[in-house]
Amino acid sequence: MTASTPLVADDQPSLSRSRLPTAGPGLWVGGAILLLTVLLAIFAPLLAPHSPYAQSLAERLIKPVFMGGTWDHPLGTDHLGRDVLSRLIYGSRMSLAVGFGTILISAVLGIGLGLAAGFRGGRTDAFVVFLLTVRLSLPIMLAAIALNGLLGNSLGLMMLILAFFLWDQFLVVSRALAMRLKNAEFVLAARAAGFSDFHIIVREVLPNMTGPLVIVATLEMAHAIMLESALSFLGLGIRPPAASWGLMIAEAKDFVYFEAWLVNIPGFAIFTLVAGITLFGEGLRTVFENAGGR
Amino acid sequence: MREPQGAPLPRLALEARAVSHSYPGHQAFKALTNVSIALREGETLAVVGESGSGKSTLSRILLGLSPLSEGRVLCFGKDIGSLSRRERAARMQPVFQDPYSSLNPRHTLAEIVAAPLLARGEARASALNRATGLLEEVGLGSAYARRRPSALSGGQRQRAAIARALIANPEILVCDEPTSALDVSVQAQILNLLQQQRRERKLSVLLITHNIGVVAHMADRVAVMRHGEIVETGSVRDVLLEPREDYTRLLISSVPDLHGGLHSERPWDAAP
Ligand SMILES: Nc1ncnc2c1ncn2[C@@H]1O[C@H](COP(=O)(O)OP(=O)(O)OP(=O)(O)O)[C@@H](O)[C@H]1O
Ligand SMILES: [Mg+2]
Repeated sequence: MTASTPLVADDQPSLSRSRLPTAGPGLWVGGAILLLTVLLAIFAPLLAPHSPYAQSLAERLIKPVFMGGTWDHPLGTDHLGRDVLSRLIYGSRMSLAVGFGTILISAVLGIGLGLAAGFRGGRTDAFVVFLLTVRLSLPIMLAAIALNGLLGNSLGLMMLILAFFLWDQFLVVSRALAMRLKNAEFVLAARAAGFSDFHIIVREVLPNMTGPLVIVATLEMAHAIMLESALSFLGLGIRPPAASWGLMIAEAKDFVYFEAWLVNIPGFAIFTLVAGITLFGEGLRTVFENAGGR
Repeated sequence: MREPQGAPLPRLALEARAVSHSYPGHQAFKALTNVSIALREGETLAVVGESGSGKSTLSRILLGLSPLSEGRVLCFGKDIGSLSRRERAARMQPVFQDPYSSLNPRHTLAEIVAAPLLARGEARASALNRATGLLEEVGLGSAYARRRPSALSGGQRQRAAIARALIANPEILVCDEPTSALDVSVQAQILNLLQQQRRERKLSVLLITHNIGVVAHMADRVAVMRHGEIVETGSVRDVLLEPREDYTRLLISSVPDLHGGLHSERPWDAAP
């Protein structure tokens, strides 16, 4: 035999191959924020001290407890006398619903297109890349405002519109992975074993894409939540009296000079959730990169 | 190793007739030019040639895994284009070069080995059971059935890949450099396993390699490739002892000690 391969007597797998993921604190901090928000949303009826909708003109614009208010309304009340803490807690449902709902739709769209382009190549790929170029040339905010104005606003519509703009990263990542994986030997082996292309894509290829796609999903989710807030702030998103953090800011904007906390509290919530999800996504990326290689 | 005297002419298991293949690209690259090659039933045919000569391309075309620009591939006389993917799978299976990329890291070994059975619709439980049995047969204990490839060494992975290739009882094995990614000490074990299975199952084996030593060990006949063409074909004895082509001579001379140590470690030489 030729001496092209190094002579190593030991044929045992090295321990270093099964390594522990290493991640900075971002993963844990971000994960904790996301988890906390999910818990808030799920248990909102138990956690909220008041109804998020109950108005009481006698109790308008009460300050939060740290500004001299009372524990009855720990974060104060808004211009209609609604409890801010309760609206904040219920608002988390809207943010998460929009976040998860949007990425669910945009993931199906983007990954479907990406797999088709990556696997079929040729004209399919050229067409999908054209779609991507068109999508990237649309300014999200302007187009979303136009669509929203045209079609009206509801939660479902909002998710559809946002999903329509947030599939590009799913596409780019899944297309690149599909191009790489379609000639992987384990995919060739699956074809030689007799599996259909559909089975191969779903059972052999997709499971090897989950890592990068989960990262895309978290980052796009933060994106969607931010866009929802912005659209709601502009009066184009969630309709009152529903509680949404963006809507809370919008409703408080007339009071921003004297009752700044009415804007700051939901603003802080949006910032924290978006930052948390982004940290989580970046943390996952680090983990996957460290665990990369074979 | 030869067919017994007076036996009828062996059938052809796998045959390429005037196959050409170009990879698409800016200047279409002709990887195979007018390649004709015939694997007889029951024999081991080695294909040798330097890197880039088109061996892997030929193997993928023979397996029906990539399209061919010109020519025909026949499997037991039938055009492989007319066979379904499942029909092809039932007759021929591959063993690839790199056992690190030929096993899906997300699946357990039993699932991987059972793939050809699952693909033709066998019940999962019985397929996984047979896979476990075959893992034992190729020298991996049944404890490996539930593990994933990352828990295995290169040699162990290649054993699993061989088990997958064998589980559906194919007649033909196409092995593309099955040992070149392995440590030297493990290469002989894998070759022995292939040789043992080949005999027990009466397989026809197309063995791609650029290792003349492996040819001397394993093959009945050998075809030499260069720049996408077959430049010489013949029995191993003829080609290795009296190469007709300068290029073949060059390949052989690059192996320092062909007639020395290697022959003594041929365990299967004892058999008829
Ligand atoms: N997907 C591809 N696209 C374009 N060219 C390719 C592709 N795959 C292989 N080639 C080219 O075709 C030629 C033959 O490649 P092939 O992999 O068949 O060679 P090989 O004999 O198997 O080499 P090795 O011994 O290194 O495995 C090479 O020049 C290679 O660069
Ligand atoms: Mg090769």
